[in-house]
Amino acid sequence: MQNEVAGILSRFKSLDREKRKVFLLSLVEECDPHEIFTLQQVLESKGLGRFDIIGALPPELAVKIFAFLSGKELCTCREVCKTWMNITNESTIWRLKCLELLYVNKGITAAQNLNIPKEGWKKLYQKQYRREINWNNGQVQTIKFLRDHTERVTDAKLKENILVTGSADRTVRIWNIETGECIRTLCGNSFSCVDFLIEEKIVAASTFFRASFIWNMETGDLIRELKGHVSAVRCISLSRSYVASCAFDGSLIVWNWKTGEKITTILAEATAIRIFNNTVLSHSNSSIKAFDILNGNCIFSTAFNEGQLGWSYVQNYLSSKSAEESTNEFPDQIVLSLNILNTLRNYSNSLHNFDTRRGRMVCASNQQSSDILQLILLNDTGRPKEIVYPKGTSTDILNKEIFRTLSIDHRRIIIGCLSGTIAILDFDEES
Amino acid sequence: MTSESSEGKKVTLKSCDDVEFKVEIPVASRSILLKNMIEDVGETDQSIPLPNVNEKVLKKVLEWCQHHVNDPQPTNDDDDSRRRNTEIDDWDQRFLNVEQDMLFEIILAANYLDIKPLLDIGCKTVANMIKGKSPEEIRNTFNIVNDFTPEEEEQIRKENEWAEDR
Repeated sequence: MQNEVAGILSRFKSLDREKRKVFLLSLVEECDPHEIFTLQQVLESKGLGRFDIIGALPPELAVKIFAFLSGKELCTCREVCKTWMNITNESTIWRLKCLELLYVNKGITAAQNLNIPKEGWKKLYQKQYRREINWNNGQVQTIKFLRDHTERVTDAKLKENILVTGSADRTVRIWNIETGECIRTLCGNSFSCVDFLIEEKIVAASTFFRASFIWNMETGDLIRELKGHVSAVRCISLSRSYVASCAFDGSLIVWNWKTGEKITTILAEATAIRIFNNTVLSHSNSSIKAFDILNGNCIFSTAFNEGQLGWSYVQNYLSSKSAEESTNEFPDQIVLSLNILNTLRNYSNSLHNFDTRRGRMVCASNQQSSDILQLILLNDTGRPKEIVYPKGTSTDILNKEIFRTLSIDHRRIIIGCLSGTIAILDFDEES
Repeated sequence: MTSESSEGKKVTLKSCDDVEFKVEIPVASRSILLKNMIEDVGETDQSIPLPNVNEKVLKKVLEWCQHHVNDPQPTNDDDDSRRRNTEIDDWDQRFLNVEQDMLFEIILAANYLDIKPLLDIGCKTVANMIKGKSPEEIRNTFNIVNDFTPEEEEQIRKENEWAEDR
């Protein structure tokens, strides 16, 4: 029956306008009264101008329209009728939705390099969508512990699947965060801060005893030992060419890490620094300053009272911008990020330990001798939400820990504790 | 379409119902299909037949091209991964405030003529007609008959649970 109708239809489509008209008129003559009634109903609804645009369009255009809808709206469309449900089953739509989320969370390069997932685009999207919902509600799904450090964790940096931690137990450890495996242990002294660059395969760490070290991440070979500070180093930052560190003695030193040449020494009481191209941005308790690495001159300075939390936001904002919108002048971007920061003022002073990523911030506040993790959503001016742990023994363990460092990505919160334990809170649902 | 003094070169387009439009080349070139044709053919007095577009729709599409004649050409970069929003500027919104069948025809024509920004706002307009509505409201908007059995409906709702905010 389907074939017969299709045959007549294709004949009809091949007719020119005049012949179509003649055909339609004779068709109406052929119809029974109840068929005329059906026809009338169809025509009336068409006459009202309402018809199924989606179903009438070629599938690739229907897909294009659906790609503008959210995951939840697409689910609503599945309930409309069979035609619409079939269109929502197109994997192209879910691929686009996956890319969109990935772009927001990890940037354009990650989105471009995404391969076809073995579970299929829709399953992958569902997983990511659930993760986003859990994140925004602060609902941790699983907790894992890494226990190789024997003394307090002083710093932790997380990029992609690699976690690098520094500890007072005189080691720096490199972890595969997926498997929980400690890939490499680098020994030295009591470490105060770490940084690493995946693309250059290097890890840098500074000590409470003035020196800093740079290793090859893959071989564990020591590439360089950097000396120059006369007190404990409190922060370090790597770029493709430079390494900068700042110590309690009030000096900020920049080296070329490839040659070991000392480029410049700047007087700066910085609690945190970050290198962007040829600029080093430093944060102190009351200001943010930018210095030209090549001559040590201060090129930008602004009062800043938003604390570590605010600083975390500023540098994440800048690193997300500098890659994609490099046309803007650097100081302008700082000012822009400061404008957005106004909403943070209420939180920054009462909290310690924090990280921010793409609109989400996590901070720990100490209440009645235990640390409470709180989630702040930047686009939502409401109160911070308390992070909710899953029920179980791991939660009890976590409640006894004192938090020293926090870092987050699009999926997890990593907590470095006073005891040396590292906790990984994961927002992915177990499949 | 423009003032007498304009000496811009023109091209003639012919709709499927044999109506001719004289159009300045930059306006016609908003359509990548026409732009390529004009470049290939060079200067000619012959009209370009558009067998998939009727007079009413072509007139409307050309009105859009005229208004947007000075817009930068869209790029193809990052098309897949860019964040999709459904914002449409005021003029375009008014332009697309038409009967559903006209909207449908505009989308088809924009696709055929390869006018990406017009296709985009056409698709956004339909997407906005869906957003925020329940399945029943959507059926009403597009005059669709629910062809699911209650059992099938139940099954689909179950499959959709992942999207709930719980």
